[in-house]
Amino acid sequence: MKLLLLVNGNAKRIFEAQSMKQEDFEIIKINEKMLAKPRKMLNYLRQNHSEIYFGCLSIEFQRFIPFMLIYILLSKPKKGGIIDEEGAKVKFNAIKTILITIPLLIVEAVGSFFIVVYSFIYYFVWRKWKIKS
Amino acid sequence: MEKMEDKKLRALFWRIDYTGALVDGGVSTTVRSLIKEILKERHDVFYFSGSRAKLPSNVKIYYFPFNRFYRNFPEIFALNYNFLSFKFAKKVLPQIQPINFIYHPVHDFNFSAGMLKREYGIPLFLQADGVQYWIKRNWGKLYFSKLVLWAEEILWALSDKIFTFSTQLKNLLIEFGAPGEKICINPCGFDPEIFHPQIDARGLKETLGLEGKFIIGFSGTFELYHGISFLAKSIKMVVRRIPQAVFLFVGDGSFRAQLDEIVKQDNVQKNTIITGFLPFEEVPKYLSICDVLVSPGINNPDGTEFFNSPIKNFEYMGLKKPIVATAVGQQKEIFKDRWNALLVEEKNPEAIAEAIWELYRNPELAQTIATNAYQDGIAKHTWAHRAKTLLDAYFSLIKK
Repeated sequence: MKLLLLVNGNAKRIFEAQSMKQEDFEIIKINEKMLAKPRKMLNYLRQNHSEIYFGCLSIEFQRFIPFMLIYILLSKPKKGGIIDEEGAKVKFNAIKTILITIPLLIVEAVGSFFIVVYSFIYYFVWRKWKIKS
Repeated sequence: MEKMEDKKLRALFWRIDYTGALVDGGVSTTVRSLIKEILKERHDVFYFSGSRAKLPSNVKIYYFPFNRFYRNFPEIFALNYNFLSFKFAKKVLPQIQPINFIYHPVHDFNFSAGMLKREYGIPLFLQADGVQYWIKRNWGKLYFSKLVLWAEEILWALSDKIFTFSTQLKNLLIEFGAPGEKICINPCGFDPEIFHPQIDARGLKETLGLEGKFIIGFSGTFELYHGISFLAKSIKMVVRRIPQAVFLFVGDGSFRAQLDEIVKQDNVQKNTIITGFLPFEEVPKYLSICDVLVSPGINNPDGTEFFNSPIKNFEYMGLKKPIVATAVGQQKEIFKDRWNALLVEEKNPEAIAEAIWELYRNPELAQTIATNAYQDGIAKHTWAHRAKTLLDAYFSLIKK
């Protein structure tokens, strides 16, 4: 049995777009907030499933994909990916996740810190002076 | 001499939302409907968007994508998009000038429309669906609270008009510092070409296995303020009295799990259908097969009054269906008990069940309130009325 963690979108449409059979899957509806709860997520992921998939409306617009891949890396089967209603798919690859996805996430975290600092200065200046001038 | 109101305008709609247009929620419907009405008046519409947009083909759409890299940490992608969207807009705007006004649904952390207004002097009309700071604090997670507040304050200060949906929301905006003299109440509405009493939904009842059933409908996103759990709790009470009753939930949302749980606990799975999100064009068909439509909104847990203007209320009116609504916020203003709806106490499943039961056993009352609601809707609450308010605001601004 495979597991579909449905983040958003419609399971039936996802299976149709991916040419997969619904009866092969156990479907659990989650939301993006749930991705921030590792204990709950790992509970789902450590059961006896042969593959783990995250389902969504559109991979192009889906946030938190690196976290989903890390969850698959921590899951029991370490197989699966991310699938959407438009037929797009991100296939899980353990080496790629360790060597590319995780380091990129760290770079993103560093970059994010600078964006926050810059934003505080920029917004402050606008609020204090620019709207009045 | 040509009257100012006869002048052909060039309106720019600018929506920031990231995935908003992928799901047909309230903001998508509002923006799309206003655009449709403005096009009917033969004005030109341009559209800047952070997501894909389903709009008429004569709208020139410019898609400003979010950064694909900065999107995994809370709010960073929105902060980054404030700069990015302004950069895109500055590049495109000279190609489409002259623009008469910008219509912009406010989005958290983003004041790029304000920056554009300051640089080009184009009148800026905001659509405030709430106070972003309040929404994040009460319904989501609030990170970088100062930045959310500052972005909104900048937009309010630079705008020429702030359109909001209800008196309750106007009060909340003023409480948070929005200038009251700029605020104009322009509720949601409905499109009578889409929501009308003669919808052809042949075969749908059969497909859903609902022949001979008494169908109670709800449409919308399953969010806290829609009071979905109280409607769910009323199912078993209704079914006790009307065994052939079926509740048809058209939509989805964060309270879906809670709804599923109540349905399971009360053992009313056979009397409940949850469709999930449907394409907008499918929704009228589903609602048209219902015998009663319900709007169970509730006041907010922090004590603020229900401030939404649910589109469903107006769409229900257009469908000429008997409506059961809770007596909260704007619903108390647009509905008059036993005249165009049955108004019930909020958070009270027994009251909802009682009202449905009354409409079931009194078809004459159901018919009367449905007819009154329809006439009221056509006279006052179509999107054409809302677009007129928007255009009138522009002309009065220009006259000044």
